[in-house]
Amino acid sequence: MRRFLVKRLWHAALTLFVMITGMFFMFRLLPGDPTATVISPALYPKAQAALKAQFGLDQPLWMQYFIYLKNLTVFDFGVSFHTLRPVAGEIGNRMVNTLVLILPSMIFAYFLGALVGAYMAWRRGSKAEGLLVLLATALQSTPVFWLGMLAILFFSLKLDLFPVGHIVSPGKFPQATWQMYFSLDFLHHLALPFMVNVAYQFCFPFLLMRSTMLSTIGEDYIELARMKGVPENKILYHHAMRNSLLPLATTLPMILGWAVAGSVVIETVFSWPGLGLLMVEAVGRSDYPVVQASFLLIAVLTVGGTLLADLMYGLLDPRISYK
Amino acid sequence: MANNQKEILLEIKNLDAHYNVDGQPVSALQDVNFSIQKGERVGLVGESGCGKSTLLKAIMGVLAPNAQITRGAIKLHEGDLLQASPEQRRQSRWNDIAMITQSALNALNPVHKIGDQIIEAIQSHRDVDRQQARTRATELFELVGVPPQRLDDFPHQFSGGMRQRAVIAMALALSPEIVLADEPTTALDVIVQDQIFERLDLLQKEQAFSMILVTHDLALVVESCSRIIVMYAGMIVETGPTHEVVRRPFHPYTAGLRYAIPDPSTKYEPISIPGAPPDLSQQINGCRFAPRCPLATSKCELEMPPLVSSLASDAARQTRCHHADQMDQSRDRFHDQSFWQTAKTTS
Amino acid sequence: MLRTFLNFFSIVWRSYAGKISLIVFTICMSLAVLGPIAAPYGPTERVYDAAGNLVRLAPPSWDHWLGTTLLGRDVWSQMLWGARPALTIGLLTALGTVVIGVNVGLLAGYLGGAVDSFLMRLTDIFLGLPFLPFIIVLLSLTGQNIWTIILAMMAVMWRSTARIVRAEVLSLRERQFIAAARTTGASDFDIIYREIAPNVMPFALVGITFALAWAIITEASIGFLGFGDPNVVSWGSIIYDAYASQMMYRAPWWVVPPGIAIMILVTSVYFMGRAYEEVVNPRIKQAG
Repeated sequence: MRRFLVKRLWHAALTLFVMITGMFFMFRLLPGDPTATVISPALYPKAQAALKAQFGLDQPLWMQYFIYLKNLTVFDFGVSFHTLRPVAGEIGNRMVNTLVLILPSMIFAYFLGALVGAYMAWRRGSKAEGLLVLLATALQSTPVFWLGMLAILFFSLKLDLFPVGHIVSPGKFPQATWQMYFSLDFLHHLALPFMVNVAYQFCFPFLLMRSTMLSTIGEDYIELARMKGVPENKILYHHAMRNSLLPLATTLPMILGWAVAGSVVIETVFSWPGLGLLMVEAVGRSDYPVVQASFLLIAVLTVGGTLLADLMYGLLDPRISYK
Repeated sequence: MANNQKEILLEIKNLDAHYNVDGQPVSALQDVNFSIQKGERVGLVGESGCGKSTLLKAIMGVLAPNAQITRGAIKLHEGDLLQASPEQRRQSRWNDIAMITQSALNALNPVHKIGDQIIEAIQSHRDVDRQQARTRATELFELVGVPPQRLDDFPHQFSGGMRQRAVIAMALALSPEIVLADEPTTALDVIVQDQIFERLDLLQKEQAFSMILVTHDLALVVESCSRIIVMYAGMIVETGPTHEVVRRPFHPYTAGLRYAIPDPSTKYEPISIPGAPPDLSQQINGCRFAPRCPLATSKCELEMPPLVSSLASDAARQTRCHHADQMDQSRDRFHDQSFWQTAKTTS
Repeated sequence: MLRTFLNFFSIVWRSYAGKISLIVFTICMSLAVLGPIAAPYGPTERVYDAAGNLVRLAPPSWDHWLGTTLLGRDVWSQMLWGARPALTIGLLTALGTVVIGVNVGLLAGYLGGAVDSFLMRLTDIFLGLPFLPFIIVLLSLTGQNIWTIILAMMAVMWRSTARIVRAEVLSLRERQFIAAARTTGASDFDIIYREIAPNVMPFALVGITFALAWAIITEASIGFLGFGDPNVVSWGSIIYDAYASQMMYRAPWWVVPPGIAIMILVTSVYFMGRAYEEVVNPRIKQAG
């Protein structure tokens, strides 16, 4: 168990390290000078050099890289080209905003998908099953931002039930940030993006659970449970569902990764001030310290999710010994 | 006669069943009739695909969704199980009739501890708390010869023999009156097979349950069962006291099964029955064994023989063959492989 | 190779859902080919009425089946023009993705050892990569046109196919016919590409369908985020224009059609992939 844990942690760390390095050099080596926005080529060369020194851009590339790595260890992500303030100050809140939107809706969607998928496999061949499979596939094939726009169009603009976007109403931002997450106004803003994300994320676990269940139902131990006189609903959740959870668990990291990465789109539609929106805005402004930092945090969430799901897999299947 | 007749526990009457495959009915059981008495051991033999498994599933009430029973009754203590409500059936399963399954590895749920799987069987039927159920499970493990501390192991941690013992323990959990044993030792090596059978033999005598042993191994039935039922292509072709049937088969198929076993006490070489069982998606009017039978005549191809008494002196001996009366003269010829080759589809 | 490809269509055609999907997909393909010819207006052509006024945000009518946009463009024409980039980008990306993925999988699985460890580590790193954010960063650095979009998507998407193919190669490697080929002195190259590769073709085809579905949605998402090719009208960019105009509420006919088109196209692709997968290999579960 311990060796397994160490190995997984090492892999996760390696993955992050490669991504950080890749990102760093991508920005500096690919064509186009991302510093051009902040250091206008129209400035006097002397002024340009002074600014470059201020951002540490006068050092040789490898020096910049080491300084960057060193700073990361103390969560120093540099200074935003746009606001000229430390990136670390803003990015923490952004990450929390992303998590409060993505994580609960993901977990809810996953449970819902698994339950409905299992139940529909139990009722295989029924009209309801066929319809739901079609619906889920269609939903999965729908761009989530378009789904969000339709939701805004209908629920916000037509029915006026929910705000059009943002995390709280303008002017209502509370003094302490944490208070915001407990306000009704926040929940009111959360509702629509939450529902849209649930609708979208529901499809994959639903379809996967259903197809896994269909093969589990044919197993001998399901028949034995039935012969034992175990009540049907207990066979469903204690045997069939329990044994079908493994593929769901193995794909969870992938799904979690997609969901966090997909936050870019859903946050843009709903103007939700999370990491994804921050990144899109920063890319638009060529504010590359912010792009790097937000990308890095999104990657941390993705890789962390993978790690977590790996560990969960071991708990679910007693046949896996941690090697 | 009537006073040595023991109490009949289970009676299968005129049972017909088929599977729907691609919208076509495929016959699985046809006109199956037999009964089991209290404490009796009956062997059910036949090639794979002869309907043994379907019959067991029908008795247990766990037929696949595409299977359908079209006629007949399965009577347990005079009550027809086929008429019972789903909840009544659920309560009756395992409590009255339990089963020792074929492949213990696949039959045990890999993600639950073995002890929990036994406790689940008990708690599905008895209103006992977990501790009481566990006490019973401990008893059962001792009964089948597995150390009780291994109740907390998962199936993959058991050896094949131990898994089979655990499955036997599970079958006996509620002291059922009838135990169906479906090829209980096929996956095991010979030494372990013997151990398991000895244990089963002992338990059966102690606990006096009736047992139907389903196998394709005739020798096993000879060793352990007082009565034998031979099935072919979904039908019972011969039944009677095991030793009588084996010594003096009246159905050519039984003779074939019997003489396929090497017997050092005779000068004969073992034979094998040429051909394959018929395609049951087709309507067959005559005897289902006719295409492989050296004695078959045109009557056999046109007319299904009934299962009738084949020996006036013993009503328990029944055979489904138009030519049962010829068997006493021609039985020896069935030892001869070339005689088998004279059958219609094989010659 | 060609036979596997034709076989794909005959297998898909066998199932009810597959048949419908194939018909829908064929219609979309013909739109991509013929759409620009059939379109009454150009993709960015502004429409004026008889009095010479720009026809802004006109609701659907006989003249403009799906209405017009804020800039007076005919939505129906844009829809017809938009099918081509969606499918071109989708198909090229899917093809490239699978070519990379299959080769990585073949080499890792067959060569084993250090090559395998390295390639699989690399695959894991790419699997941990946040897909859309990475592509956006890449596009912002390399510039935005159809080719960079295709390359950016290919750079990430090969990961799933590589894993599936490697697993299959590992089991194929031990089979008799490979050993036989080896004893006759066939080179590694011959064994990989002549003996093993044909056997992983079904996996490649399944990979193509799922990659295609993903690529179409991703292309639309890129367009929606404003990183699409500014010179190309695609279904994604139509949605982006509608969103950016803030006129969604006044012109639902502008937003709804491109989304539905994407949905129908991608659904048909998914169902084709599943119909094929169910027949050739019930073991491989759909993975992006």
